[in-house]
Amino acid sequence: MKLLQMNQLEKTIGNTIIFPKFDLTLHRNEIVALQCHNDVGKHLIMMMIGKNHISNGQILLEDTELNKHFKSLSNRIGLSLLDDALYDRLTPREFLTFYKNLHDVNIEIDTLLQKINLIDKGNTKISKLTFSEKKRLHLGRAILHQPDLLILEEPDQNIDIESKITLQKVLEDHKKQGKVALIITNNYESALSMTDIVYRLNEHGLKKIEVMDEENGHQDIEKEELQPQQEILPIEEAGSPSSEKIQNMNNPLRLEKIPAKVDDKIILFDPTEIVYVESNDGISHLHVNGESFPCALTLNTLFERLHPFGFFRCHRSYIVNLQKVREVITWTRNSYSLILDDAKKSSIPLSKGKLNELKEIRAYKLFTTLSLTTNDTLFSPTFLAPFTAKWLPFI
Amino acid sequence: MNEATTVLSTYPINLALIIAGAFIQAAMVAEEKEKNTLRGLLLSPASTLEILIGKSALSGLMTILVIIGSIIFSGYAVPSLLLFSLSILLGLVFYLATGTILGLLSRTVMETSIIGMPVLVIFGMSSMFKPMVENATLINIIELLPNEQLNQIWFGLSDGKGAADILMNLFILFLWVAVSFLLTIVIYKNRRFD
Repeated sequence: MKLLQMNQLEKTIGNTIIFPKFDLTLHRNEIVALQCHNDVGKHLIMMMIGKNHISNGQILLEDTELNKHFKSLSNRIGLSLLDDALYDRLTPREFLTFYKNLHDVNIEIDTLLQKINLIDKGNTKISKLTFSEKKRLHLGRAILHQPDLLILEEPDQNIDIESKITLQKVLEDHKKQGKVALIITNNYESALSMTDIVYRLNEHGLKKIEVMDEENGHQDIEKEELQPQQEILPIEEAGSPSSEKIQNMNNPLRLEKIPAKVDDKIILFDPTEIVYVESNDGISHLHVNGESFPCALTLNTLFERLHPFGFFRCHRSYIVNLQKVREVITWTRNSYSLILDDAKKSSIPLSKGKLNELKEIRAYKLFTTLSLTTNDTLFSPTFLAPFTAKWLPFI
Repeated sequence: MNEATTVLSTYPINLALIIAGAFIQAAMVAEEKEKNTLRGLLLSPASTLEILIGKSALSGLMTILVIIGSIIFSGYAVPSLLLFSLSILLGLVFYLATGTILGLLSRTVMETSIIGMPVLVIFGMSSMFKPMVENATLINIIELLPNEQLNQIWFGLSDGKGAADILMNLFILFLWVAVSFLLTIVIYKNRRFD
């Protein structure tokens, strides 16, 4: 059952796109995490509570426009923001009682204090609580009136393990009651640790991150690894049971994803998302969007898989996505670097042998014609930069 | 009773209204803003009016206590209890609204006493300055201020005038109340989110 719908929602400020149009529907019994930059998340929350103007689209709680009727719907929504504050001079018990009366609900404060693990501190002044305890109290305030929709901004930022466990329990409980939680965070790991439904929202739009539990994940990876062998089998042999055929038809879709592990979850990346892969202490790290994710596959296996997508083994321990290369820089005659077109302008090494390979397989025409005439000056950065930037994506 | 002594005898009441009413209210509102707790209230089901009345109730009560105290200590003889209370009530609403505006306009509790200073001088001290002013226009303006209106009501009552004589003063006072109240609502709507 749908609870919250965002239809064609868009936010622009002047000519800057905060996020382009997207649709997102939250169903009951779901915990959804939205991974985005803090300010993007802030905009989204402010749009939901009706403070910020919505550039386009609408936000519906069941069938009512949430942003326009927030006050009347506020009994159905629990909100905990990053910079929320508490009354320092009250105790947690008094604070929750105050909000209980504001919301006019009938609940047991003690049960709630138990739930957020603050029963021992019920009569301590809030100013004497630790940061994590305060965060738990915020959580308690947000769930106090048993809202249908719980919106949490960075709920696990800087809190201790004890509070994280409490948070997990509260979320689990919330979900079991058929309610919905929307978690807005800029941290992948925290998003993944709280739920399996993770989206990423940025100026390019909303994208679902595919996550699976570790056990299933392993099976899938094994299947994927087995698969190339199956494909090698001649098709004539397909007089055999049709199930294999079906598997073969389904499998190519799976093959395109590259798995990476975060805690006990596995994320699947589109190869085109990956900027480069680095091997460090024998573990491959996928670099995606400025973040690094360890991957169980070896660099060789990865290269085999990534090769068809325009990846290039530029160094013994690096694979690079050629689409993302902006410049080739020559430091000395034998040392080269690739500057990438990501936010950090990462620079990765290019071995000398691989440079020739790059010339041969990728830019044969361009590089050879140029290098015949200007052999050594070719790779001076100033000379090459415009060419590589312009041509590499096409060759 | 000559006018100078009357001014001195009503002065504590005016000062009580502005310091207890406006400044305490301003500090309380500003603290909610400074500590970010106001947003919690705004996002709760409580309506604007409920929040404003709730915020005003405590400082209103304290102001009344202070006024009673200053009447006792200054030995001021309350002329007509009903009309006197009515004028105090109107004054109280005006000063609470002023205090709320001050609180909403300042970012911290400290700031309320800074931006509150002109308010204190104009509404609190203008009765004292009036004898020194010679400009007729300025005197007319001062006489329209709510504290002067209150003074005129109280003088009138002391002189044994009835409700009909102070009706004009009550009306002007009521205008002040209405304007300050509307202004509070408008500023509140604009300023509520930090």
